[in-house]
Amino acid sequence: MFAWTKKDLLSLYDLSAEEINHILDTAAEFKKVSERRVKKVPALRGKTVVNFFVEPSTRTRASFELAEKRLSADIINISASTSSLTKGETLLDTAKNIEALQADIIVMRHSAAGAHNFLSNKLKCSIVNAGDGAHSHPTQALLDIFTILEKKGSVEGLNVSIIGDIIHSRVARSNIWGLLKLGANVTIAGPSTLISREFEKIGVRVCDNFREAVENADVVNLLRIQHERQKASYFPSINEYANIFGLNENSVKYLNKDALVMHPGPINRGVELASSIADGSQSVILEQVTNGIAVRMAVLYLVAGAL
Amino acid sequence: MKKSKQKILNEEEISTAIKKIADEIIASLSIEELKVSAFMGIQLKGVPLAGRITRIVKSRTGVDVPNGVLDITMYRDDFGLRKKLPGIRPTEVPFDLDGKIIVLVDDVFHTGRTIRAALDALTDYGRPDLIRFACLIDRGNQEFPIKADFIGEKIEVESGQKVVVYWKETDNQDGVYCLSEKTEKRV
Repeated sequence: MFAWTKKDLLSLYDLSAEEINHILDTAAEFKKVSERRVKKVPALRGKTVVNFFVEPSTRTRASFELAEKRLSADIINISASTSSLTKGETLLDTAKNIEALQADIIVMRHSAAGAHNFLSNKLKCSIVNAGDGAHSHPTQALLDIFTILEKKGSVEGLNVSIIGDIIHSRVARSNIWGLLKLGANVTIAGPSTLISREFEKIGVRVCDNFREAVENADVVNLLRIQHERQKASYFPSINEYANIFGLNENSVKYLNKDALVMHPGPINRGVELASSIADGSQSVILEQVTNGIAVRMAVLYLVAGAL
Repeated sequence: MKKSKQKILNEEEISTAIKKIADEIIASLSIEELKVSAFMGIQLKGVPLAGRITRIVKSRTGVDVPNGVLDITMYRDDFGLRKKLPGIRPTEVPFDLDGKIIVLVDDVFHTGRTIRAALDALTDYGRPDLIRFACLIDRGNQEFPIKADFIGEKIEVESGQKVVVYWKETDNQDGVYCLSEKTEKRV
């Protein structure tokens, strides 16, 4: 049987298909734990996990926290506003102080791409990436792929379309790396200001036409349009985006009847996704949330065991 | 380093040992009790054994005892102490454990640590009335105050030796082997 050896989870870019599959297989067993009467195993008993969220997060942090509790780890949470980063402490100093508390794992979200790679070389404890800038969000992609696998049985050969603001999205990048490694055909689509032909170099189909991206897709993953980005005028208006790139009552006709509709949340209802579809039978959005716990349990378990 | 592999039980002897386990279970549990029993094979090599005991019990009593599969990896006491992290295999508990009689089934009984973990795992799934333990080989050298209830064969081996069971289902043959690895001690 394959044996895991990595102490950190930084990015799916660094993992082999075998390693990704091992996380997913492990997650399948941890999912069963959450379905039992006693939703807890003693695997990480006596281990300390610090959730260090320099950038705000609600759902990812809650999901990690629950995963840690179901593994019986001791946990503390540090957020940017309550950390000494606001007093001018460097990231490395803060992280070293966390490690000095005898933390075994640091789960970190940071606005700077590569912050995790920087720390992983300096610290002995495990680093799990919970999102770094526009770079990487490996556990989100793993839970997306886990959900696809659960519904479709296999990822290889599937047509997966990711639609929205691709260039600013760590979710898109992580999904692209993971899906390509597992043999899926990946398409990205969005306004030309939010996609890049650069992705063609790694084997992604890039299109600026919603219909073309959605037709023949087995999975459609719609990304959140980040209103805050609108200040930079990447597209003329929210309404125009909703009409051209939103999945709604009108554009749903292009979608295969058995295609999965995914969204990493939080949804802007009526912008990238209409309510009737978000709550419809093809949507697996809430299952993504449930699967997030299992995938994070698997990741924490594996990195802790590799110490 | 010198390695040796010695056969302890052949196919026929294994078959006899399994019959002995089944007979001991039947002698210990009434038909009524067997009807509320389940055999839980411990991953990996306890699983085929549970299936074989089930077939013998069925042929002798007519009671088809349901089987489950238990993986104890999440309950190990050596997490982080081993260089290689063992992979997690499936656990399947296709019945309610409350009020049941559970017979844990494993191939080799050695330190007792697996059974300690299995008891913890099992009680997270429910509250059986009675838990018993059956093994094909009891090799002694227990480190925990745990004893087997139904034993196929008791053998004596040195603590450094390893007892390995091969099953037709997974290894294309039935056989129990004793592996010795004699290493020169470094001074």
